[in-house]
Amino acid sequence: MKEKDKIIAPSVDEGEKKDLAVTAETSEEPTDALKEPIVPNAEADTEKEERELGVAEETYKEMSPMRLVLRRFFRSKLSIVGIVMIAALIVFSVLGPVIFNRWGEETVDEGVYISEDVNYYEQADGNGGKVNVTEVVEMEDGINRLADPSGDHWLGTDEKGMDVFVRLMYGGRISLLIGFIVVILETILGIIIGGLAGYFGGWVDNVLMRIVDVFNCIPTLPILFIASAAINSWGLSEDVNIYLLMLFITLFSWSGTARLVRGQILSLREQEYITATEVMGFSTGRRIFKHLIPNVMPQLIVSMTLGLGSVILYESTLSYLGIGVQPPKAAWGSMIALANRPEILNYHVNVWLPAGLLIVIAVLGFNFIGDGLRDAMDPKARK
Amino acid sequence: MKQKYSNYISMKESRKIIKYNLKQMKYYEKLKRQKRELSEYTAPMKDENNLIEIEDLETFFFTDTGTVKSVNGVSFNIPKNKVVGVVGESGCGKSVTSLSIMQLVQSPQGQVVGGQIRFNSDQLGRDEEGRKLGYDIVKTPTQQMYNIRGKDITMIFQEPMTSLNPVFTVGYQLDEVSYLKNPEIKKEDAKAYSIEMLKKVGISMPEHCYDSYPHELSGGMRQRVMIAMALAGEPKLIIADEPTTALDVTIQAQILELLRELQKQEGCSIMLITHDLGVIAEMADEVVVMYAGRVIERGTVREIFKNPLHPYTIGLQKSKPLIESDAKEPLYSIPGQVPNPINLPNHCYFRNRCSKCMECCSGEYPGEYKVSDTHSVACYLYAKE
Amino acid sequence: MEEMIENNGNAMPILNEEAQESGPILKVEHLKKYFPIKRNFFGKPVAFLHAVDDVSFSVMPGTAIGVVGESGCGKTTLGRTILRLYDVDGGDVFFEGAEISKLKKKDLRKYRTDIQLIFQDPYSSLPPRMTVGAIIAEAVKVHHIVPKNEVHDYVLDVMKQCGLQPQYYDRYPHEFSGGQRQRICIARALAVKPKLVICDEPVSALDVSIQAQIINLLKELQETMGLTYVFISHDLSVVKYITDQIMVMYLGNVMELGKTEDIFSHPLHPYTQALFSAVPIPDPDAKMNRIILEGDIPSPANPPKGCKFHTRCSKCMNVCRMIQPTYLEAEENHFVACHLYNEEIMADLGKYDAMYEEECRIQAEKEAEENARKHRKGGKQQDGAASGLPQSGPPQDGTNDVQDGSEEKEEEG
Repeated sequence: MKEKDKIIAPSVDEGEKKDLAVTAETSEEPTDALKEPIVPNAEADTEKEERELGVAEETYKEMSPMRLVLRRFFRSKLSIVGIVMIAALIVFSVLGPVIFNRWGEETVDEGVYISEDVNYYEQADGNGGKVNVTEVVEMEDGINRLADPSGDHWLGTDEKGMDVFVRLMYGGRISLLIGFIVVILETILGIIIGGLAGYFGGWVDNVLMRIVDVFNCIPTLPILFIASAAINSWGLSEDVNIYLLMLFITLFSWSGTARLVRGQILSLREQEYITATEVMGFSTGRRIFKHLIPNVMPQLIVSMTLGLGSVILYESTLSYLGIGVQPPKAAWGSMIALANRPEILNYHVNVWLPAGLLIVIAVLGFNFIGDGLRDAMDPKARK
Repeated sequence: MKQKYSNYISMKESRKIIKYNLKQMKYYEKLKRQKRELSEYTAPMKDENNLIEIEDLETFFFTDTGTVKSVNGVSFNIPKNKVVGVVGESGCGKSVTSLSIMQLVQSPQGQVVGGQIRFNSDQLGRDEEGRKLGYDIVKTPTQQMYNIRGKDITMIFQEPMTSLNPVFTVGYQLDEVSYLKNPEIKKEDAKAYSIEMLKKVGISMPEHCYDSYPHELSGGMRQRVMIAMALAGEPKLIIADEPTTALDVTIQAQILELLRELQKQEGCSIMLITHDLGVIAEMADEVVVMYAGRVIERGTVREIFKNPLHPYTIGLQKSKPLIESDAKEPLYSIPGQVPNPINLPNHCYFRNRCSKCMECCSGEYPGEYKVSDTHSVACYLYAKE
Repeated sequence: MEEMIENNGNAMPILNEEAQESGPILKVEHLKKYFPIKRNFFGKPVAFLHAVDDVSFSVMPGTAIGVVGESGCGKTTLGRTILRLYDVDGGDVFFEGAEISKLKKKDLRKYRTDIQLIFQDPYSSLPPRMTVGAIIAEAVKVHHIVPKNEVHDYVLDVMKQCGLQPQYYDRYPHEFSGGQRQRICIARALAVKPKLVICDEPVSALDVSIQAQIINLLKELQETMGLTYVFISHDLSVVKYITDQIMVMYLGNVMELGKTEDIFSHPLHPYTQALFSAVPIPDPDAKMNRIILEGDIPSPANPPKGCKFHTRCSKCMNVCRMIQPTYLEAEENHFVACHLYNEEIMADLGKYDAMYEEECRIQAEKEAEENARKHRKGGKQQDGAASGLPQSGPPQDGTNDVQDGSEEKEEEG
């Protein structure tokens, strides 16, 4: 020990040395010039020294937590593609109908007469010879059905003479609306049920999770068929039908979110900072809503984004099967369903393909964003 | 309130950093993929008795907040049949140095940017001047590295819980090492060899242990298995990265004793990385003290512990609580924090925390000053003028 | 077992006469915490892990007790059971004379601010999405420690005391190093003006030079704020600087309890001695004649019979294999649970040796019988092994311990 002391401070005696240690302890990391210098004997350029020390401390800069997440999110090209896709889709379906207001959602094009059938046939004339007759037959109702793409109808018209392009926009509105509302509803339901199960555990957990299991076992599609038939038989207005449909989809898809929330809360409860909230004596409500739920949010946002894609797919499937959004209301699924007729499938690709593409774009876009968010918010990737 | 985000990177700076990082990473990745002749990645050893010679090693990490110079011009040697202790606080670059030796730095963010790591290999012979040739690990292609990793150089990790694969038996994982060494080895021979290895590391029921899964073993047993795996390749160098940090003191004593015995018995070198000065004092022959990516002092174990020179080494030793010291005195502590390794200015990194800071310390980073043949220190206090 | 407790339960180390008058701030009596590890079909626990098994101690205000032991010794569980993060399975905890071990969680809340906890891992113990200021201020606001308009200044004041600069107020925990984070944890705990702080390995995740800073900080704060510490650590040398008493634990039992100086100057229990000698000394010339304990720490789920340390003890006697040692005052205020210091037992070791041999013989006979029966059954039917299982399974371990203890006690008397 003696030997060491000699080396450390050959010129400083015991008392001074202690002083030195004490000042150093209290004035950690000097940043402003007001603090005492660490080294008592370096009186000369104290101010300059201090300034430099201050600079030394700030040689690096940190990233704000939000920036950290954004940085990671935008690092992946796919998430940028996803954002662009979804943004374009939202602009297209929300602003589109405002700009392209020539045709409404359910307007049938009967004003303009374009197509005419020309029949050529031979007819016996009175003299026993034959005359070539050209007969022009007008369309009976004057509806512009299954028109090819043109300046009037950018993507042509469907078999009822409604503009495909405009209907795509309205279909997008419905799909996105259903998607957002269903996802928000199922998240709320999931947070409540999963949160209760995860926080309280024990028999509460057991009962709630068994309910979740039951909902997972129910074959969704047949039930929806029955439900849809029932809804239709009540003779409610179309709008109400759509909302009822949302409710039904929610009812069958919240269980996944509940499980996620429960699992997250179970693992969060093991985290020491959650234990700390108990030590601090915070109320149950504060612990759940101020500490647990905000920390579940990142995972929830990811699952919500991914859920959006699947809800849109769901809605399209239902509409395709004719139990979702009822015509003449536009929906991407029911627009694809037109391809059931062979001649439309073969000769009028413009009627059904765009709707299919939009579904692909929407689902892909949401999945890209979801994947990007998952990578960005993954706590394991945090340094 | 305006000050609130002053410490955060602005969008512009962030973009600049990312651009720079991409360029750098691309450059070094390209460099790595280049085909090289044997002569390009061999270099003559300075001293035949050294197993590893590290010279001016620089390993950088290109992160979003800036370039982290984890290892910034580190030089030291690992002599044959010696235990070299590398000691330093977290983030001082001791682990990254060992990963650089293994070529296991996480790319593309982490890159060995410069310097040489010469590994004394018996396969290469001598050059025209009669100096022994060694591999320069920095330039050695990955394919060639497979012949060194796991055979000539092996590693023991800190976490015995996570460094064994939980789905395979201990025996299966041990046998793998034998197959790596000799692909034609018979199954029974491999098993016999593995059991012999387990016996060697002091496992009382090696046959039983051979058939068990990692989760059935305790932490100390698992670390023994890890040591057995490291020894199975008959390595020349074992890199032990905090081998006892996760263990209890009584178990740590067992493992250290075992390591010491095995090192003498097998005649290999050990690079022992730890933050515990006590472990170093007990195990090491030579000590390298690192701080913020640089070697600040190195020498034999007696020189470092009996005659520490750098204020950091002195402080480190004084601040370690000891059983026999007087508890009435407050514990000595080095003030301040370890500097963040991003954008460090070119002056002594310990300057802000040093009790003997002088005017010249604000100047350039001090070079290495030799105090004796084996003892050198990077501090202006010992500059001969 | 109960008798044993009665005999020496009231013998508590007393630090000084003055403090005794005001009474200990924390008094733990025969505290037990068992975790169920095996449940039967109906969810009823049939086997227990004795994490904390009959621990008693008391702490005077303004002093500190160190709880030392290796992993699995129950020191962390002890801390959390005192805090009532776990329910108490037996025994009492008195805080300032009030019994808090049987309070309902709701009634417990008013004691929450009085007892605080500092965690080992400064990385996982701070909420990642809150700023430093908000973390420290939250509890202050919730418990109305200071008037609302003074909260900000108060928090800055606490931060200053803990060595944190005011500009850290708006930063997030991820921007700080381990040492700084631990300071934030300390500031959070101290902001609610606690009387007792349980420090659960507060420095073991930190670097050496930072460790010293935190130890000094804790000691300084103890002096300025008059705090009482329960300092849990696996490192004897760290505990020394901050505590007045030390309690050494092994597999849920207290091995030794005494004043810090006494324990350091002459440790009595062989385990404490081994612990001391296992700590590596940073001196290359230090002599290597250390006691290296053989074997591993037994699983706390299936602890050895008798003295729990006997499997690794270098001074193990036959009596250690049968009887759990009683907790006795070997010197003034220095308690140890080891037969070596029990004169009664040491006086007639021969009796116990004979007893042990007898027991071994019975055991061997039983086993032989068992084996024979298995063979017979195994020959006839496959389920022979299944019927043998319940007898050899771990369920009885826990209860056996207790019964054995009391039976032997009776024989002894």
